[in-house]
Amino acid sequence: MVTVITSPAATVESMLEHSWLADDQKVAFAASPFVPSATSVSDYLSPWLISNGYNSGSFRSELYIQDAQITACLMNQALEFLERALCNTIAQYILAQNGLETWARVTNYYASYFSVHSLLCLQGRTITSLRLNNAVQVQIVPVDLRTHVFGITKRHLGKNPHHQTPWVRFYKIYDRYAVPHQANELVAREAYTAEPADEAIERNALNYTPFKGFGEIRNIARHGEFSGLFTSYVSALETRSTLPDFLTDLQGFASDSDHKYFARALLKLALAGEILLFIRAVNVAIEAEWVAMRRRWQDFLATVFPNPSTCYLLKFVPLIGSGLA
Amino acid sequence: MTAFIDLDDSDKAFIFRSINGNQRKINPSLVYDLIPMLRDRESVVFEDRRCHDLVVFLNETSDSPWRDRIGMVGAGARIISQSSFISALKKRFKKGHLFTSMDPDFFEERMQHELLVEYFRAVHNSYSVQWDNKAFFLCKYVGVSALLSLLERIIADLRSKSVVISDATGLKIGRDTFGPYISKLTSFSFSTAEEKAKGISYVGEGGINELTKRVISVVFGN
Repeated sequence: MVTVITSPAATVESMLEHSWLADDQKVAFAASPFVPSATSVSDYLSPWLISNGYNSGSFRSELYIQDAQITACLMNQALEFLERALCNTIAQYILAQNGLETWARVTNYYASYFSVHSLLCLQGRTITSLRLNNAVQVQIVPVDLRTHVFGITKRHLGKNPHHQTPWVRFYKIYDRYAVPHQANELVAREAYTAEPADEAIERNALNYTPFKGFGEIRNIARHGEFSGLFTSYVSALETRSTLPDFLTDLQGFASDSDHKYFARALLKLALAGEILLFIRAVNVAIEAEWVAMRRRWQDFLATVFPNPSTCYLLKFVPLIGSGLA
Repeated sequence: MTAFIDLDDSDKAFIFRSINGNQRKINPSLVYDLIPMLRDRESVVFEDRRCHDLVVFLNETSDSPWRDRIGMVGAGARIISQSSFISALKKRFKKGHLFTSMDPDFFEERMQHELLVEYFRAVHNSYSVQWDNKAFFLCKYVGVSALLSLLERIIADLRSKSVVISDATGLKIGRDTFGPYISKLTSFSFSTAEEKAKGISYVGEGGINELTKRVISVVFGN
């Protein structure tokens, strides 16, 4: 049940870039009434806000609310974003194998982008659109994650809340987060990126700048060059059988000019999986849903890639969230 | 010193490779721990080295709430710098404080590690909102200094109650031991804005002394 909080422990402004520790995430998600569901934070909150007289103009100043159900919705969103990221990774593989460089890069961007959204949800936050009298873009900011207190505001969203703000927030928050493997630092630390939104900038250039994308159709040599390089990378990955081995290879690939974003997308997927691993340990309902999701993913991969020797994803995907030991 | 007589060439090569290929410096803190006289004679060097090692440990160990949150050389902006943290810790090595060579429980580095991690985990458990948050001074130099003074006061209180602090196997107290003390402290928010509204700011060594008195007063009522 939603409760309005009048004296929160901190302001939204002071919590915009707050980086919760793993212990905080465990306490919050352990106490959340998680049930697998397609109900987003917006689906859950919008009817309550309407019935309590809030409208699209209500969030110029912050509204503070407390409800463990919001934490449960955030977990459902985190899992859904992770699945979207995985689907885009599979599409990227098929496109890149066939030398379709432009759209391989675009789908790779979405794999990375949805991983970022998943990781933000695991930190108890999301940028979403509430459906009130008008649709209104807001961010849900965890003011006290452990006790499920959230601020709702349409401030501090930046000029591009879709493809810039999530990246900026992600790097600010995960820059200080204790990542489980050194390779994850390449995708979490600000020091390893000159521009937090660099992946979005590249995607925009490919999609929207004349003559930047679809070079493979004009230059057939590039088509072969790209698919050849990609094949050499994935053939190395196909020989790996443990998550640390994969992460070590991806750590090396992440500095390659042609395929760094490919490696970074996989490293983010792996990071989200490892965080979910310790959250699953404290909530049996989340663990059960994870088991069901993994089975679904493996069934899907077995259908798309019937020959087990042909795709590194058949080995990598089951290792997501399996631990580093 | 070890000498070998009449080795054949392959054994010589093996020993040469082992010594020059695998040799690593031992942790200098071990040297100081093994030679107490040196610890006393070179106390300034010892304290610098030990404090640096403690800060590195807190910033790198997986159980530490400080992991990746201290501004080590080359790291991005962090709420507290390595040098500030070292300054806060160095006071604990002065005569009459917790980490002196005379302390029966906390002379050894491993005990200092365990104590600091357990204590700061207890603090973080009660102050997750304020932890590593620039709107609060909990994790800034003044806050850390005051918290370490509070830790000494808590240990003194535990000893006065004959609580076993450590034995040959290691630390016998943990975050649960500190929990009741930190729970009493939570009425104090460490909020910069709240204190500023009251006209209070904790700046420099005078500010640390004032804040220390305040937190000890909140917990112990004196």
